[in-house]
Amino acid sequence: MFMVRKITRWITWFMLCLFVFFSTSKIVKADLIVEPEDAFYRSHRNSCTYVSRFYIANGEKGYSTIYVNPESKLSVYKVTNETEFYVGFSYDKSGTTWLYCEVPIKANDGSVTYKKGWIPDADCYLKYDGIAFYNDHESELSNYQGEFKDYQVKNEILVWLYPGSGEVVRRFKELDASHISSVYTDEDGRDWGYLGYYFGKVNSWVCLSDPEKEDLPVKKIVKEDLIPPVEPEWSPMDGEYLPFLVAAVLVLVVIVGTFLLIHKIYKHK
Amino acid sequence: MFLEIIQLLLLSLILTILIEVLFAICYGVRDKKDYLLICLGNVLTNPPVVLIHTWLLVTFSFGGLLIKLPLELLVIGIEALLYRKYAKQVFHPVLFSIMANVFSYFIGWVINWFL
Repeated sequence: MFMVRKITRWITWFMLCLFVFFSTSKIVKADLIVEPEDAFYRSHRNSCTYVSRFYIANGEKGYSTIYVNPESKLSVYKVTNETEFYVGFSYDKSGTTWLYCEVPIKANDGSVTYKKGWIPDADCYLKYDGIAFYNDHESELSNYQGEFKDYQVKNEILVWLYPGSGEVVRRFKELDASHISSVYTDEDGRDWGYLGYYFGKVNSWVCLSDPEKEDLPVKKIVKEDLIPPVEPEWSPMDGEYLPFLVAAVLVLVVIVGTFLLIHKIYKHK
Repeated sequence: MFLEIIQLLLLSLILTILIEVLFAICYGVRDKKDYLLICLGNVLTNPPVVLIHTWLLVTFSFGGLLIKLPLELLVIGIEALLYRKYAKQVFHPVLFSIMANVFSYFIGWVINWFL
């Protein structure tokens, strides 16, 4: 009884110390990285690199195959070229880089599901985005000097994928201009500010000269030598359930046959 | 997908049989019928286990030890029962089954790691 009381007292003091420690600790705010619910990723987490960018399918046959994992030949889906998808992580294996991708599939009723798996990076290419534009024009950039700080928002500020992309990625009712790091001046004399991080990763551009205009000139950067899309051929055996169902029936037949064979060969023991 | 599944099942079965036969040689098994029993035992257990594991992996991205361990224990149990009932030179069927399957799993892991 005495020992129980002593242990209880120690546990209570320990819990009190924990409570004091955690209540006085600084709370660290970190950007949330969503890890995939993927068996291969979970077992190779330390070898995977965070990517978080968009890619576009560009397979040799006009479509790209998404696999269960970099070590398997089992395919999850075949995605037609020019399809855009999100890549969360990459993994290097024997000189090949594999990308963990989430491909959107639109149903007839408009709902969207996602096929997830791994694709070799040779079967796709990185979508030209704000980061790519920044890297390509780094020598032309100047530091942000506060050009935007006195701007009064009328409706909402548009954030573009890159200058001339024609693609709005975010809209803000207000913008803390101190998050703009660099400025780019385009051929038409418009200033663009690079927004790296603002309530999460943005990595896109604000037109400082005309931040709320929707119809800015579009000068898309298009990758050349793309392979034309071809609809992949689908057979019932490429579906989710039928291949496993047929395989299960075959395995069952083999099990029964083997069991009978064992019984016949060894019944005289 | 179906062809890939069948290829996977066949490859896994052949490799497992080769490894367990090798283990049986090292263990000292000499009876031919016992070797046949080892082969048939693996034909009985390996394909369904590999199929279940693959289906869970592809459909739910669910794999790892939480799945493999109970499946392997089931395999060990079934093979141990077969050896106990029919084998002539496998004198400790449960131990043999455990060791053969651990050996097979380990070699498979090494092969996979090098590939």
